[in-house]
Amino acid sequence: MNIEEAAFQEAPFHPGHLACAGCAERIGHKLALLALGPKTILVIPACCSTVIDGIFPHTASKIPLMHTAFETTAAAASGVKAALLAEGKTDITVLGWAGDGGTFDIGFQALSAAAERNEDFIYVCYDNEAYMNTGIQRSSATPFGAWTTTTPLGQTKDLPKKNIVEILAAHRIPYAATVCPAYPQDLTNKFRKAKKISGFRFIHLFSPCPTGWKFGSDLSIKLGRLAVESKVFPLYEVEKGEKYHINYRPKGIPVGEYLLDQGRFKHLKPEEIAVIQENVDKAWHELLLKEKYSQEKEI
Amino acid sequence: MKRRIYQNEIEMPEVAISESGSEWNKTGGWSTVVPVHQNKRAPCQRDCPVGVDIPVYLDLIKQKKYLKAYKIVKETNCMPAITGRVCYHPCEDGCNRKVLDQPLAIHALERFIGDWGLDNVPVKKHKVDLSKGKIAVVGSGPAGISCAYHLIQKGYPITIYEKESKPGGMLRFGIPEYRLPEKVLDKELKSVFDLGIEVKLNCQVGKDVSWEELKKFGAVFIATGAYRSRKMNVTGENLEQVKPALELLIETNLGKKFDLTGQKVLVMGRGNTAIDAARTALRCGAEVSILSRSGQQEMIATQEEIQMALEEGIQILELVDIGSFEWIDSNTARVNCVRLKREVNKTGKVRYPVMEGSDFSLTANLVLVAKGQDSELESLPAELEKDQSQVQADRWGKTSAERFYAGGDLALSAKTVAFALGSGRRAALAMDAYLSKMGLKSGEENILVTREADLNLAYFMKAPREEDVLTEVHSRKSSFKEVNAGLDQEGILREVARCFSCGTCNSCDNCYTFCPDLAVFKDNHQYRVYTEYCKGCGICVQECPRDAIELALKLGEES
Amino acid sequence: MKKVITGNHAVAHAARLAKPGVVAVYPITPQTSVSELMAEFVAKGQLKARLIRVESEHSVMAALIGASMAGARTFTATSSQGLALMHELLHWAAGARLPIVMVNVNRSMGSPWTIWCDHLDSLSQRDTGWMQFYCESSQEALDTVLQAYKLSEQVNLPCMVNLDGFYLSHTVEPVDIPEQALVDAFLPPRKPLYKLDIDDPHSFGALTSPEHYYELRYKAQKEMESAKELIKQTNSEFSQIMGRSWLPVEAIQTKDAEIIIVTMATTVGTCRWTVKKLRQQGLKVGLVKLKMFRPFPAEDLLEAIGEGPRVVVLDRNLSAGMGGIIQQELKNIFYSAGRRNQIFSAIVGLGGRDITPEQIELVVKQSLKDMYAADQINWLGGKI
Repeated sequence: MNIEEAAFQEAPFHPGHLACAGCAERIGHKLALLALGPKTILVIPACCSTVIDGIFPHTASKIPLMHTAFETTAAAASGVKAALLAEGKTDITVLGWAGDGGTFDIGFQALSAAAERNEDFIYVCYDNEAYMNTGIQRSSATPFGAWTTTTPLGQTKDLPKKNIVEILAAHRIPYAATVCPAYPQDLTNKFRKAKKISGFRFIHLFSPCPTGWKFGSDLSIKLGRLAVESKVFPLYEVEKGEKYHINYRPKGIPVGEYLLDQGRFKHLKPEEIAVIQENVDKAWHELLLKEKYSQEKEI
Repeated sequence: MKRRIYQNEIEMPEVAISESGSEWNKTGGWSTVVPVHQNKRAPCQRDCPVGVDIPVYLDLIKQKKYLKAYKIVKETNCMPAITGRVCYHPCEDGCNRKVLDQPLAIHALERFIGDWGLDNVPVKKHKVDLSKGKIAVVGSGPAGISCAYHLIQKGYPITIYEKESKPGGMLRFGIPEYRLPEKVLDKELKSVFDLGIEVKLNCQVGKDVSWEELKKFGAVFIATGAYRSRKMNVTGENLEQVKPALELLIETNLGKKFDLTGQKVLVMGRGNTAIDAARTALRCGAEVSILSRSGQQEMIATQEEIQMALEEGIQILELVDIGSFEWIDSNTARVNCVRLKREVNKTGKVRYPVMEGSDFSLTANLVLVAKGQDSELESLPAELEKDQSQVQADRWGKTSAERFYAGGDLALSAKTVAFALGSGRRAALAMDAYLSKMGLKSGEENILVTREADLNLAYFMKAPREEDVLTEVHSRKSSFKEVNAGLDQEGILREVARCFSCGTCNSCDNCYTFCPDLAVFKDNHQYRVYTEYCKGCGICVQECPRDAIELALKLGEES
Repeated sequence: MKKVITGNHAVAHAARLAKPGVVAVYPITPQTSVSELMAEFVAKGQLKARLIRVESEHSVMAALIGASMAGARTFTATSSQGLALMHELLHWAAGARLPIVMVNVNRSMGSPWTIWCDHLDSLSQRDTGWMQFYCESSQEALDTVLQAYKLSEQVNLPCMVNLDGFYLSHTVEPVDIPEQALVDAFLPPRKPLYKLDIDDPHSFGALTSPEHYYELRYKAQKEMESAKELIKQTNSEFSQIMGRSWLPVEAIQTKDAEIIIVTMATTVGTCRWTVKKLRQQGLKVGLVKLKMFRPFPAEDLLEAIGEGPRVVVLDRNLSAGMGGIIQQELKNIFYSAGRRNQIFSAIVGLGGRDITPEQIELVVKQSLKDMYAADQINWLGGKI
């Protein structure tokens, strides 16, 4: 390993960035880049990461970073990759790194198109479940029952979270996976695996946000763990849209343990928590069935 | 490095392209707190009377660095092969692992590393500085040996005076062979003596050598132990069928073989001596019962010893006391007993008052009394202040007489091997301070102890405690062969992996992995914090499994 | 090699000859056959480019911005609604100083739906920082695309080459398609000023505070201004190799003119014919063809028109609430230069309404008689 690679392994981006204290996106970003290595080009739309990277003429990034308009991540990344391939450079990873707003909502069209075209790059959606960069407005990634500034108390979000991984699995992309920074080894494994696959790869990164979810900045990893342990955010992979593999089968804890540490859920009544529990259980059960079915299909 | 602000368009690039990194932005200024990697004490460390650095050596065993682990243990404990076998392991009672499943079998790990050291680590004679004061140690039990061991490391010439023909004190005479084989004892003692300690056997100070003669020594450590079995003070106690339990143990350890086949033996007592005597008698062929004043759960003996005794077929009669003995014939005595009841008063104190009208009688061929030991004080120098059964000495072994230090069973009410070892070590430190005219550095300040609530249990998975590998009961009963075979290497590694390493950083990398601000960095196996960038989020503290890092207020910040 | 082809195909050939590394396509009438021919070139191996078949024009421009930023030469074609959809990213491409060349086939904007020609689509984008050229013939369109690449890559600004929808895009004309070798002699491979490079990593387009944004805009303006002369140099180099020349402003019979028509694109062709006819009638009429709209060639226009003649501007566009766009810009430069020519404004050809010699004759004659007020909009050809 030469000096630059060693420095990258020590710190894949510079300190002094502008993330809030306790931001899980940075933890995920660090682990992802360590897994992918320095031959990576970042494409970042308008989102927290844009601002986190800092102000011209400085950058926190140690790799090339293209800032792009809000809804264009997947299209811009497609363009970057095409240019690299036109030059015969096949060993550089293009990494789209977008928030949930730029993925589930405004960026959805470009995302679906790039997935359909099986563009050869890795798209990571770090999901803090709202438009956090503009001050905590709801997105279609905001979970049922959550408070945001556009779903304030009295009208908290009464619709379920869009299941982005299932939507992308339906595009039959080579690889889709969920990761959580509280499970760093699983996250690292999946990025390493994704790096070796050609075609469109989508990674849904769970990103607890102290500022937007209203919890103490030291609990980001703990909440990531509770989300996985309570099955609110299962860790699984889908290959080619058909083969499901659940990476971790938690014993299960009540969703209340995950929800009630967060200010955005503090208002929930027991009936509402029961509904959430029911939905989580149902979704988990369906996931188990999908995995079983995909295994049986192979036989 | 500063924030760049271009002063004129001529300096600027054509587009918003970055010129340099963000390191100029010292985000540490956002935070009023800073994480500090600060080891705390584990409860096992706190509770070990010898002061062994348990989490540190367990971590070294985990890494298979046995030599380093052995050296850590030997910094405080000169006889781990012995303590691993016989210590009552208060470390295990305090072990935080019990909140997840069962406490760590630290005794097995200590025994393993002690045995490994004896097999693999040669002993080099320590250089002795004759200009330093000479040290005399009276008594070669654990206290005396510990004191001598620590002082020879500092280069003091040392002579141990032992009145018996073999060294070891209670280790040799009080603890049965099947718990502590003589071979192991001899090996362990040799590894201490080979450092260059002179041992004079068959030499009792006050008889073969006078206390006056010991004036030539710069300081004297007296650790003559406690061998006087206490009396019950009941009628018939002086019958020949009633003997002190310690006597059976000593005689057996001296090699005498007793044939108690078919004999009914009662042992009165509730400590380890009672259990040792009972199991010894069993191996001599007897049918044994133990009478305990307290309930079985509250017996002073370790629960493992009680379990083994029960497995071997020894009966325990709880809440029983003896009122008197009566002579039946030369081989039989009547033992008149009463039942006790267990009472807890308002302050939580437990008492065992006699149950009226519960008299009953037993017969026995031999009654062994194990009610504890006192020290023989008459032959000790007059200058030493004594009370009824002990020499008065402070925590550091200092007595009322300058130059004289005392420890072990002679000076402590807690009469255990571990306490004796600890007292010998502290006395060594005090004697060294006295002789070198330096202040005594107490390394044991108030350091915070890691409690269960301080740990992050998410990082630990349940794993069963390794069971001791014991000889099958049937073969045990008739043999003095060592019962506990110790764990094999796989078992050791499985067990040591269960250690939480409470309060002691073992480089798990959690703080380093989870820092969003790249503010924790690794410097070899240590961690440091870039306070210029740390935003004080506290994730490192929250995710430390073992309470080795905490948030401290920065100077000048109001809380 | 001379071929009889449509304007769309002509520009597609130009793009092929320029050897872009990445082409993005999305269909819209009347541009679609450009994209189709590009796809065919790639499929047949005549163009070694990565073709991205995106799902909207917005993504077309996003993909090209990405590709250009990674160092590739890029190309696309669009019209009207598609161009408007890209609006946000047109600003982006210019601010990022990327030499993207795009063909825009002029088509009017809905609502209501229309597919026919006027210039509002491209002229609404005049503030985005793109250079803009308007072509009178298919040959000119082909040649302009090639010149656009060279110019763009020198000043690092994107360039839009406009063709009139249906008039040029779909009518066939004989076009000389140059040999690859000649094009290579004129247009070397792109050497990007900056690019996404693993060996020299930077961030691009980061949040820029008021401390610096102003100056970046200043620099872009300066480069665009320099294009006014650079285009002539480029054209001269082109002319030497290809034997054809296209000036940013062409003056036709202006020296003794009493009235000068100013207009762009295919309307110029109709005007050439009409001017000839009016001259035969004894009227001293001249014509100025405005080819380069951005940067606005102020000096060339002032020189071509001179101080005396009346001017009538034929605007095939309408900036609602203001009037014709070209006349507005022309009046601006004349006023700044202290010129007092009378400038009349005519709105022509909206939504594909044919611009006829009769209309032109009418407005010229009436302008000569000062029948219009200075601030009056002359709705030429409208049923008003």
